[in-house]
Amino acid sequence: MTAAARLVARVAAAWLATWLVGWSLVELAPGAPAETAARTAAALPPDAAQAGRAAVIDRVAHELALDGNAATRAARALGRAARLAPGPSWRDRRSALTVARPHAGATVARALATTALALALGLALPLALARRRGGAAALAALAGVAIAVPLVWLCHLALAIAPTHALSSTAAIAVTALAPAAAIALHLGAQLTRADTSPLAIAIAARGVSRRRWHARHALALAAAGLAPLVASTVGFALAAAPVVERALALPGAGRTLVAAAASGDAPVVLTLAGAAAALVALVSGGAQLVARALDPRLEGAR
Amino acid sequence: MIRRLALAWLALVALAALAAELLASDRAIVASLGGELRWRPPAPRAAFTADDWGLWPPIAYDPIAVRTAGELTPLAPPSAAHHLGTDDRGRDVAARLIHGARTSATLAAVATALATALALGLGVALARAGTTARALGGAAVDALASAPALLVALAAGALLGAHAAWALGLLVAVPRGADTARLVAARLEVELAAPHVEAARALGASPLSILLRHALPAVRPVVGAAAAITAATAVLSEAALSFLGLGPPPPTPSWGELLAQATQHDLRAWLSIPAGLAVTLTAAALFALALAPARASR
Repeated sequence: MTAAARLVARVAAAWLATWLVGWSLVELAPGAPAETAARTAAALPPDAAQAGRAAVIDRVAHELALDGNAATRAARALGRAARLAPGPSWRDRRSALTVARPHAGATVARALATTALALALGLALPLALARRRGGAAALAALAGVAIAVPLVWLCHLALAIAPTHALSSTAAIAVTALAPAAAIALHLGAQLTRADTSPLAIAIAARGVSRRRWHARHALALAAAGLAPLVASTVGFALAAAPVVERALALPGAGRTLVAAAASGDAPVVLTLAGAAAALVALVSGGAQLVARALDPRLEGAR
Repeated sequence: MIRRLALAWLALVALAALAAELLASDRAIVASLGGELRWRPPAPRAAFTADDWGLWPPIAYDPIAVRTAGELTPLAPPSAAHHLGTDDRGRDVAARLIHGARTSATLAAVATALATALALGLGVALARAGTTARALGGAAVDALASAPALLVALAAGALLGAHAAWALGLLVAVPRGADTARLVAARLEVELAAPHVEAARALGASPLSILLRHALPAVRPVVGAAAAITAATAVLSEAALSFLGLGPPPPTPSWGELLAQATQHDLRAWLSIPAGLAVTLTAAALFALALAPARASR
């Protein structure tokens, strides 16, 4: 199997696995899926008689193909997911893809920009601090706090410092990039500390190469392959942060669509967005592994 | 030094969580009512006569009861009566902050216990499995571990309709447990191939004895650090989910709910700063504990 085929298989598996697990949760939730769908669509009057409720649930089950037993329903849901046609939204009967699509591009673009910014900050900070006395301790303290600050609070700080500028994608990217940048900086800082005491570093220093050049040309290259998984997890973090950041900063995006769908119990839309996020993380993760193997051929042998 | 500070802060949070009723409540801790000494009597302060006395909590307000009789003002700034002000329903913020520690601590404890159990179970199974089972299991664990914990909790909580602290703890625990399982399995594989384990095997030690006496003690540092990270993730996830309205159901007090209120009400500082600091310091303390062994080894 070629690398590209493996990547496609990985993305497809992530999409389908999300649907399989997600649909299992729908079936495990209290109440039949048709009843939840009827409640989501506000088609179930709370004061309706038992017979009236049953009739409404039967009608909704028929309309949304939620009749039959659990296995039949799961097979239908997986079949639709495999055809990339996740079916209608339980709330307003539009296609779940149509509901999920608006502003999804903006969320993905922000996630990718966040990853780029986090990578740039995470690389720059340890390199800048590595040459200073106590730099490692300062880096650890800075990164430890940056990872621990809740995103909501960072959004509050952004809104308090610059109320007009904070309501922009740039603020969202900066706020979201802080924690992954800290994680990357911590990882790289540890790698640089280890590399600085290696025989290679001593040999290179003996040949008169400056510490800055050693870090930029050699140590960074040695650490680059180890950064690949962090890049993938940064994309995942940025996608997971989207609901919080988009809501706090009043930005349009797929995160707000997900929260609205989650609050109303609109399973097809939740599964479409969660599946798409899982597929994107799988794509970036697979891509990052390919890049890591290109950077460090030893990883190819270890596979 | 950092480790001690972190432990001291976590001890404070644990104390607040365990003794919340004694620290913030509108009921006396001990009172003498009509000459009878009673432990936490249900009588309000107004019901006390001149002959009665009571030992009151430092914050003598209930975190949940909404008073509409004009006693409290909604969104009142900090004052002598309410040291951290009141929220949008006139409830004391300090009382909700202390009781919110219980919500966060419960979620963190549930998530950590479940994730650790899952990590050890999966890790041992993966380390001892055959080649095919290990490849399949490894792929499944990789898929679970790569899922962002917050997204999993949000989506799965919505699909299950579960917003109780234990359910959110479970949802945070699954991806974190899977992530730790990979580390546990890798460490166990190394340990099970070590010369001292070979020697124990040659001396007739059973697989269970080898696992319990030789292999599992070696994964303790990995599991300990991962547990601290899981607890921190749970605290941060609770804040995010409560902010989104998908956390513990109202009127449960929680730090995330105070942050959500701050967003709704022009970023009132007395709602945002104490809750934000509480989450940040707790998560930072847990991360500091997780990173302590790595720092010490350097």
